Amino acid sequence: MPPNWLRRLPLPAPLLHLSRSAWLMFGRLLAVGMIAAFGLAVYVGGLSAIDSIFTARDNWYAEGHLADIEMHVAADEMDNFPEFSSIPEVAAYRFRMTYPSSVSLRTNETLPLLMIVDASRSNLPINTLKMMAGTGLDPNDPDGIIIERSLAHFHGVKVGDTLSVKLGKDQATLHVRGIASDAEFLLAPVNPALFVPSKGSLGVMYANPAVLSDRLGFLPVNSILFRLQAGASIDDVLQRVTERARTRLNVDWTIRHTEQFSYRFLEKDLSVFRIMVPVIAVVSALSASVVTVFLFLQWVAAEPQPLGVFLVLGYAPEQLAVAFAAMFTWMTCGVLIGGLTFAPIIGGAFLRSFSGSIGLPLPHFAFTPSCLAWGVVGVIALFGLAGATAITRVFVMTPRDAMRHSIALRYATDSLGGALGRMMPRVWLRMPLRSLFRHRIMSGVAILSVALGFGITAAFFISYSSFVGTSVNRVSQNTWDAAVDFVSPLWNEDVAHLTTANGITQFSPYTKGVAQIVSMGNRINLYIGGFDPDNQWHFAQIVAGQNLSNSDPTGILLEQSTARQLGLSIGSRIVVEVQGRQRTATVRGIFSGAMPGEARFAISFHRELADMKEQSTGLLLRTNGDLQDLSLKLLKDPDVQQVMTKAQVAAEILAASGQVTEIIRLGALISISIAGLFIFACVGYTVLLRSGEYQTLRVLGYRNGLILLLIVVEIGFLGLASLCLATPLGALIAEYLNRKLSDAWFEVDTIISLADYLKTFLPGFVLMPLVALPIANLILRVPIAKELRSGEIT
Amino acid sequence: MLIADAKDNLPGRLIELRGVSKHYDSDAGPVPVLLDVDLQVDAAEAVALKGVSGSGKSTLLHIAGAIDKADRGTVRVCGVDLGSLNLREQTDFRARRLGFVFQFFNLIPTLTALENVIAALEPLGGTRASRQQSAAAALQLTGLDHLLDKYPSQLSGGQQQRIAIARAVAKRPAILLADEPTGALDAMTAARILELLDTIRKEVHCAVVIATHDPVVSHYVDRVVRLEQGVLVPELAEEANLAT
Repeated sequence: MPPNWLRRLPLPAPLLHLSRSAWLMFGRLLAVGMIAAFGLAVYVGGLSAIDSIFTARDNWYAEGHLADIEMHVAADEMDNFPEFSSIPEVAAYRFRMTYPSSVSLRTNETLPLLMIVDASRSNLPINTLKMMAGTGLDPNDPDGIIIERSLAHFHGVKVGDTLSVKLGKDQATLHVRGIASDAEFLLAPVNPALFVPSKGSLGVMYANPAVLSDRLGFLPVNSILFRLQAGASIDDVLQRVTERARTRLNVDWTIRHTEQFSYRFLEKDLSVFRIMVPVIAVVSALSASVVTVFLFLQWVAAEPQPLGVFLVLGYAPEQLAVAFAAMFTWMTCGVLIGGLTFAPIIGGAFLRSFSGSIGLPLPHFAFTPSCLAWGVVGVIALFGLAGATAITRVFVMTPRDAMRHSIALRYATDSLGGALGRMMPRVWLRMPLRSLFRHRIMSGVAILSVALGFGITAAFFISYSSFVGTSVNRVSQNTWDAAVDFVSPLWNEDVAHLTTANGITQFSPYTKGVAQIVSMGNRINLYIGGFDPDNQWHFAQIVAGQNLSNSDPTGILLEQSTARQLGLSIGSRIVVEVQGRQRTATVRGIFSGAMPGEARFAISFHRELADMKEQSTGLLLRTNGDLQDLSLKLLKDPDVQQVMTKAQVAAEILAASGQVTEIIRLGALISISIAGLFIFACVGYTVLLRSGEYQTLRVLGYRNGLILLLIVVEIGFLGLASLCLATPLGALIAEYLNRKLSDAWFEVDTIISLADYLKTFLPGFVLMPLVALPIANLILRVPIAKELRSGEIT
Repeated sequence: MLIADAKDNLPGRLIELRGVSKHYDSDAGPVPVLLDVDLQVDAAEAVALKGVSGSGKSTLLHIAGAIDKADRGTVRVCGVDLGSLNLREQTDFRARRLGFVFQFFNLIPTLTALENVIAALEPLGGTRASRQQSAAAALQLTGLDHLLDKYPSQLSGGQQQRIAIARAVAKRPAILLADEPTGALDAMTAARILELLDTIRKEVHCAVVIATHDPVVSHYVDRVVRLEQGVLVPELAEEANLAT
């Protein structure tokens, strides 16, 4: 019975009746409301969370006074540097030395390291450090250092620890005095020289100038940071400071902060979620739409007699329509309140998961006004449409409907249901199967909606597996065993010495660096890898054109999104520039790569361009011996910064893609929950409509367990049909998601495996009988006599 | 045999109600439905339970049928004290000993005539073939063996009630309880149904208790008892004459 407060509300009679009617179907209305609220929460919460990350990033950059431009030059004494203060748009600039090195950790592993030494003599607010523990640098403590927070977070280094850092051929013992965060390393520093950037794969520390000047006799500088005046044109200033620097220095590259590797990586990463999140929201919206229209139609259809009575008593159809509209409006408000309450919870969960996985500080969640507005409009439109569809039925009712006696017998079954039912040996199989065919539209709608829910869940798992699998496959297609990065470029004879000393007979040198290309007025930095075209050890997924060839030494490969951004295609001629040296190159091929801004040159071309003749920055090797042993030997060499085996690269890919796992699981949980709610709302309703039939079976001597089995079997049949439909749906949606991912990042092959389906279907098989339990309980707890007295069994 | 003959090991007095009272809760407080009712029905006896709507006929039938429990008094059916049975035991008891016929037939719409009758036999076990045989025989008894594959929606009210009767007697129950079996039927069809019930009683040797306010029923029973406001009142002479 409705509670007393509901019964005493001073409402017009039709509205009072409908509010009590709503009370009786409260469970179903709640289920439908939750589905709609979920969709709203995911859409608003998820997309707002993504925007919150970007907003937080910009705030952190502003708080940390992140440099607008960074220029990297060949190391030189500070006195040789030009001044830049006469360029009006330059608000401040700072000199520093960024020294690539390596550090030995307590775990005996060696981590690539970037040592940053500030060469400026004033405290200008550029790339300011925010102390998190300990103290800052003390000029009277030359061996004291500050570590960037990732060294503490990922490698357990603490204030007071002592670190052994490779400086040239020496090892320096330095003492950790403090831990700081730096806007420049908002994401956990990644080493772009690695084949797979993984969080914390690069350590960063800040040292006193004496660390270098005492050993070298002078303090070299190779990096200049610039902050611009508000409103200054970055492109203009970039060009002017570069020209000014070139008057005295060899400029390697000059980049905007938006071209920073981690900045671009974050953009790429979040672009993936900008695809996934709306898909979850759309599925929820679709399911909610179907369920809502269906439920509202059912509600009106279940009311012909009372509505007919109202009509007989003299109420106009418009008054009844207004009563229904009021109910739908209250429900809409409930959904909006619930959805917008859930949105920050879902958004917060996304933020925690995402930020934790990529080493980002936890951003603060804030609603994006446009997402909020569209979400609200969407819900109002959905319920408005559903309500309007249902209300049209009111206008076709007549007072005669009051005289009609509803006969449940008209819902028998069709010939297919009859034939299939005959094949079933027992009533508890026959009845559920035929029940699916007696309300074909309802059953079809239910199957489709549940299939959508399971299909999208399976699609997420398939897409994720495809993403990881493609990455790992690409790595496995490399025919090298390990990649060795040098501390600094080595001459060929030194490379020969290194390989001979370590028994390496099969190797292929490579070069890595940064170059700028200009196309269609765009000037961007590329991460160049120079490889020997005759040794195709390092696999490239060519999507257009051809691979590198020595017969075309100036032919280059471009990563596909970079090519798209620059409007380049096969055969396009471009100008590439390194340290002021320009060469013309031709786009020979376009490849799918994981690193934004990646390009591959023939090593001879890159060496010439970068003035690195006879030099290499690393090598690829093959070995028939013990790879682990060889890696350890190589790491002891003072010229070697990093050794990465193929297995390690694959492991890093899996570790890096772990961030997606939580999001996938969250999406899967939501989809499965929606499917469960849908079953409860729609199928549960039709099962309850047939309560009389189940009570008849109880009278005939069917035990409660068998009645429960009947209901479970009916939902099981529906679930089975849904899962059959979900299988091709999942594959199709996964293919769609992968196409989107391919456009946003790198070419993803759709890899379908049974395991991904089982991850969805098995929880589904468990969920559906559970959904049956409360429905069965509703039926079985009613005493038979009460049901007979109420005349419900017809 | 599908099941042991329902009449094996049964006492002569199949229904014995003593001092049975029952009330229902309502917003206005407890509403007495039965007050100190005594009723006995012997094997193969046909009894009409008459009274106006709300007199407690259905409630009495439900209590005797192990569908409901009395608040006070003893209820012995087929020698079993129904008050001592738990829910599962009540269900099993109904399955083995009792047949039910309702005013609105209560057939399962998704099952054919034959399948509806088989549904009553499945709780008792046995092979599929034996259940089909028994069901077909019951439908033959009710004259509907030519409608085995029809669904209830394809049949008239009288035919549906015949199926319901076939379902009730297919297991050869000790007692057949009929709650307003003719309430939804026209006079001619009602008469046919009552004749059928009488035939079946003699064929199956079961006791029949019919709750009704249809005066015609008196012609088909051995005895008439009347309920007025929950109290069993003496039979009226003319009803007693009609019954004999």
